[in-house]
Amino acid sequence: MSTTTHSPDRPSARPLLVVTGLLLLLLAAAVGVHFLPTGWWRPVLALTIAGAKAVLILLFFMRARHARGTLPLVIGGAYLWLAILFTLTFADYLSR
Amino acid sequence: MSVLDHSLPEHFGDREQLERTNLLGMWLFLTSEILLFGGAFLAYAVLRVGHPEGFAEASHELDIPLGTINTAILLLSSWAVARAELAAESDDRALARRLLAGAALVGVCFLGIKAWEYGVKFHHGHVPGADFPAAEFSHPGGAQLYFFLYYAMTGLHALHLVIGIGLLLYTRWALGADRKRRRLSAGFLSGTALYWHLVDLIWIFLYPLFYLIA
Repeated sequence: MSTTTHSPDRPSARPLLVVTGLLLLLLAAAVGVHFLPTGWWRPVLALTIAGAKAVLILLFFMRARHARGTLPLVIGGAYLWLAILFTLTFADYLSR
Repeated sequence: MSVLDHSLPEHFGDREQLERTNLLGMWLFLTSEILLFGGAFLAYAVLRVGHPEGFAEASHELDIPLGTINTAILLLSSWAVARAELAAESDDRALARRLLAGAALVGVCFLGIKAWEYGVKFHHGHVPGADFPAAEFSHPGGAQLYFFLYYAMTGLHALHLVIGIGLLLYTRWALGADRKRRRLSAGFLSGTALYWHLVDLIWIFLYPLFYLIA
């Protein structure tokens, strides 16, 4: 990155504001869903909204959408290991 | 002169390799953090499946408005850090420093609100152990497990936040350092930013699991 020229692919400030707005809307949605009679759907909806927020933060704030080479494997690997941890544990607990 | 130090140590072939290596190392560390918290989230999931009534009952004791305010301000602090990274890349040192200071201040507010919440719970004796007010709950066993996880997981998160605030303040200081002092390495700012966003990311899951499950 040079000190004076602005490369054309440099992310601008506007997408960050839009993403922040979306994140706050999702937070409002999470609170709204909490007060609706959603029954056993409630945790599913709450976690889906949290997942959407996480994806926005990963892609835009943490710049995972610009990840190249081995980096996507490492980022994806974290979630793969989490999935293995949860799947194998619940395969045990739920089948006892 | 750039705000960020882009000089190349000799063991790197080019700048791109250095940046890729830096990001890869930071993400490997974040992966270990995700798995550290992952173990805690797994404990939560298993215990919640085993004690649904106790968890639902105890989660009524949490203050949803305070939790929501904390989530909102932490999201705003993440914006500030992401924007500071952009500002530093455009050599806007003053804006980057203001945004980092703002994010650190928000972090302190978050901890203040969290400490207030802990204080209220301590006052009501909602702490697992021999003095737990079991008579207040129809499922005191599950409720105690819930409070145990609540303190353990939000406490571990708060510890990360304290470290994050320290990193933000150091980064802010280093960005203001004059030419005689060492300039901030470009990778340090992106590392700090990634760490702060991860702390935000973890709270995004703690918030619905503890506050919104009742």
